[in-house]
Amino acid sequence: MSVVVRVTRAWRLVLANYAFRALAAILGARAVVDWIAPAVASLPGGDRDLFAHGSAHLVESGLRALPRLGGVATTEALVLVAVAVLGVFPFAALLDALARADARDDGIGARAMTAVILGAKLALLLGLAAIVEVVFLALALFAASRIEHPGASPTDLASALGLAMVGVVPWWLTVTIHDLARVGVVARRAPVIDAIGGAILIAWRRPLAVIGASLLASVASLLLAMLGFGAAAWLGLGTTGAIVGVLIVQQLVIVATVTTRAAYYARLIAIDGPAESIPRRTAPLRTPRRTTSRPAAPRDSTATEERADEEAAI
Amino acid sequence: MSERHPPRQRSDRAGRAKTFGVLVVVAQIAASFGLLYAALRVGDWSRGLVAHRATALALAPHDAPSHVDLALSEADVERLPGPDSVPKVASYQLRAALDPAAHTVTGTGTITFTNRSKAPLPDLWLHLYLNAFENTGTRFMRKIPGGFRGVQKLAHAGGTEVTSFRVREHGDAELWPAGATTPGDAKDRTDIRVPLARPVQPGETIHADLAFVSTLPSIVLRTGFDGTFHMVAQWFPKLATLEEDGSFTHFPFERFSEFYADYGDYDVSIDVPSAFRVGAVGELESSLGDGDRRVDRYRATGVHDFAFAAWDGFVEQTEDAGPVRIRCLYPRGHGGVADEQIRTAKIGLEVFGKHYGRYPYRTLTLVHPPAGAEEAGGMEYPTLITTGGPFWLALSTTRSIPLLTLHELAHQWFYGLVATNEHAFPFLDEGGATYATGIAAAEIYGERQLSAWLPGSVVAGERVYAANVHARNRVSAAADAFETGNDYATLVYYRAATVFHTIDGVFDGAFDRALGRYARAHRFGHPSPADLFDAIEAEGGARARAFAVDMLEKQGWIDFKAKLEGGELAVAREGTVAVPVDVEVYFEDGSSEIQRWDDDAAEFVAKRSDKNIVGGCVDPAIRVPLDENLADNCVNDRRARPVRAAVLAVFAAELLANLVAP
Repeated sequence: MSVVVRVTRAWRLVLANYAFRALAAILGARAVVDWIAPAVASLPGGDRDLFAHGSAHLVESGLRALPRLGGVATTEALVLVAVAVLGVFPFAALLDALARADARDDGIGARAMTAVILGAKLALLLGLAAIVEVVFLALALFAASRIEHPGASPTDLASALGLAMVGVVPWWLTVTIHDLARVGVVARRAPVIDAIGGAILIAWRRPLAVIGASLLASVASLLLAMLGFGAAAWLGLGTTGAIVGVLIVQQLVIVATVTTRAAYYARLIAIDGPAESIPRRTAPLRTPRRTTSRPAAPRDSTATEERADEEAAI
Repeated sequence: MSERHPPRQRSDRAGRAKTFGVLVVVAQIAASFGLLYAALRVGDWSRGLVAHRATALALAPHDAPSHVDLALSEADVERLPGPDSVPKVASYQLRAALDPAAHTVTGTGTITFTNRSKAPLPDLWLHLYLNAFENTGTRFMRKIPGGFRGVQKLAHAGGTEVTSFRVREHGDAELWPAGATTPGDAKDRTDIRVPLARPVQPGETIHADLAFVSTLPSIVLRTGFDGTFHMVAQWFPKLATLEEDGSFTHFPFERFSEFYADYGDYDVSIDVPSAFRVGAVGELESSLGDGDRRVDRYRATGVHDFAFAAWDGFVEQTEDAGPVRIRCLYPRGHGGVADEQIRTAKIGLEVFGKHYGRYPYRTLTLVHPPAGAEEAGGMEYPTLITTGGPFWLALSTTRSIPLLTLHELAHQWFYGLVATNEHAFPFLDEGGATYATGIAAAEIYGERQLSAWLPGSVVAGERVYAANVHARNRVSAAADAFETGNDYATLVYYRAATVFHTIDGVFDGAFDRALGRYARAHRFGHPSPADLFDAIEAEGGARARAFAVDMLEKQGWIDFKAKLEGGELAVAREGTVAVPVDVEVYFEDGSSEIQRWDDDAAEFVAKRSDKNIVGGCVDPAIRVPLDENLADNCVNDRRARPVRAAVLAVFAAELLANLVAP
């Protein structure tokens, strides 16, 4: 019993998420541009000259700007934190629109309220996940440092693999469960703790589907990023036309990346959908209300009917 | 569409689901292991892909730098002397038995020494450089690395004990001076004088039979063991270099010093456990197994050192590059890296051969040390180089593997075939090899020398280290004159190479031609800095020589600065020497013109025209990479905006946001 959720259902919100990302990126890039501007101001060709003559000016400028790098890094870190926290609100609206076929019937005010309320819960979830992810990522990086050279002996290889599993698998699981919990918070309006419990249950029951969705999204994002940088590398930035071309390709890449993420979450909503033991609500959120956790409760006939209606709508 | 089930049926379903879930998780973990194992072996499995990518990038057509002159005819190249024609001073016939458990090499053999000087020799000088690692009080160990390689602690002491040293022509007397130490240093036993029973006359040949036991240290720098991997270098008592006046150039083993020796023939039989693979200087002549042990006999003609690596974990790959057989020994999982090293070596032999004379030996062995033995990597011996690097580098877009391979390969000329005194003039071999690496990288990779993705030259990278270090020491200082390893590395490697590239830039490729002239003229010789300066003068004139001497021997420096005041472009020069340089002047209508500044004045004012000057650059093509500060070379009253940086920064920030935002 599979449900298909199409991203086109929420294409306006996909674009809104892209716009948020682009605006945030312009803000973040500003610090970098300010950092590099003094170095290129005197060059006749501007920053085009940075890559001329073996990038000698780039290296020189980088070295001389190094003392100011700390300030730029701090600014960038703060911008990223702000993007991460504020980004949950447009994301909540997108996820809600993906989860509910009737979301488009809501007025702007109701959708904004939904985004704010659900976004706050997503922010809480993000904070919890970030702590766990950092711990496991650090463990994974430590393990990675131990498997740089696999050739020493089979024993070394086995211990390195063991170390890697200790870090990489829990980290990846945390990321994935976080994604599923987001779906639970928005699609089922579940409280944060219940959403985490539900996410673990879904990951346990449908691991292959979750792994597939996650891998597909990751690989697609990676390829898109490579395409974006590849465009800059191979088109070059020598002329105004090339700059405009690279800009267009890169922004299309970002739109595609946001769409890919949306499609990933749409898939998670679909995976989440058929799970029998997850209680769902189909009505749009009007009043924030904490529901009790009932992860294993069988659904009654009313719920089944509601679900059938929803699937038909999807 | 769900339906209700009786409790028992539901229970069975739940049980089956649970079993299935457990199976799925087990399969997941197994798959994860498989994926990780695949990731670790990707260096081997992706060789086809890597080969395709690297070949496409390496052999991409490009414009060779204008100063590179590859117009050497085949006849020029072939006229050069080969190793057979070299007058031999010290030849060695040795038998070495490696005990990988005790990390010892038990050696016996004969040194055949011919006095080719003009004076009788009352004694011999022998280097026992493994004794540098016998305790922490030796000359080598007393000096801290200070920014150079070799930071490992000595976990296992090494050393060489000579048990017998007799000269056949001088009777049966034991000549080895028990308890001898390095002159002037009672804690060091790396430089030993051996008095002879009677002087060796000019032209006379003697045969010294010797026996010794060498214990390898844990790897600190270049030599030693890690587990069952053994890099066996500086392992036998080795004669110092005999000069024409009858003196020996001998010196104790210093932290920053390398080596210097006479040419000879080596015939070395290496006795190892059968499971061990050996990579050694010279050609494998025979390999005879006898149960648990095997004896590999290597012969090398016209070389000045002998080293070998032995390990039971090596994988071997061989490939021919014309008459040269390239062997690569590497750890399992490093197949992609090995491919790239071999490919680079093949191209490098061709490029260096054209510039500096053909490679005259029939083998080239590449040894890639395993994890834990990285410090054995990045070293050169005649016909053998050691490399290094993690397996995943083969999949990266950086050129670190090719550049390391090219550098060590360049040492086959600037150390191997041109055997300078690496202790007294380390810049001749390290600076020469670093420069040659940059030239080869430019020819092979065009403008993307550091990475396949971005323009970046070796010269620009070296400037990072080469600028603003002239006050620390002379580039041409002896190895033991450097206070820190950082000073040694920046001056000897990078500043020397940057001086050489500057000579090319200012004097129309004079250094490239000069280095070729020098390498061919002193092939199988022991030239000095004066010989290099002579070659520079021959190719670039007296002014080029004066520049080289000033920069290399007198801590010279140079810095240009442009300024625009009242519509006038002025360029100031500071430093110790004047060189001709271009000044590009920019006008308000968008046009520009190049003006030449070629006098000794401290300032140059650009000629005015009827158009207003809006900016300018001194040395716009960066022909003087030695310039201490490039950032003040240009002025522009129409301040340029970093549009390209903005486009790339926005994209990077969007991707970063993708990582942190949902």
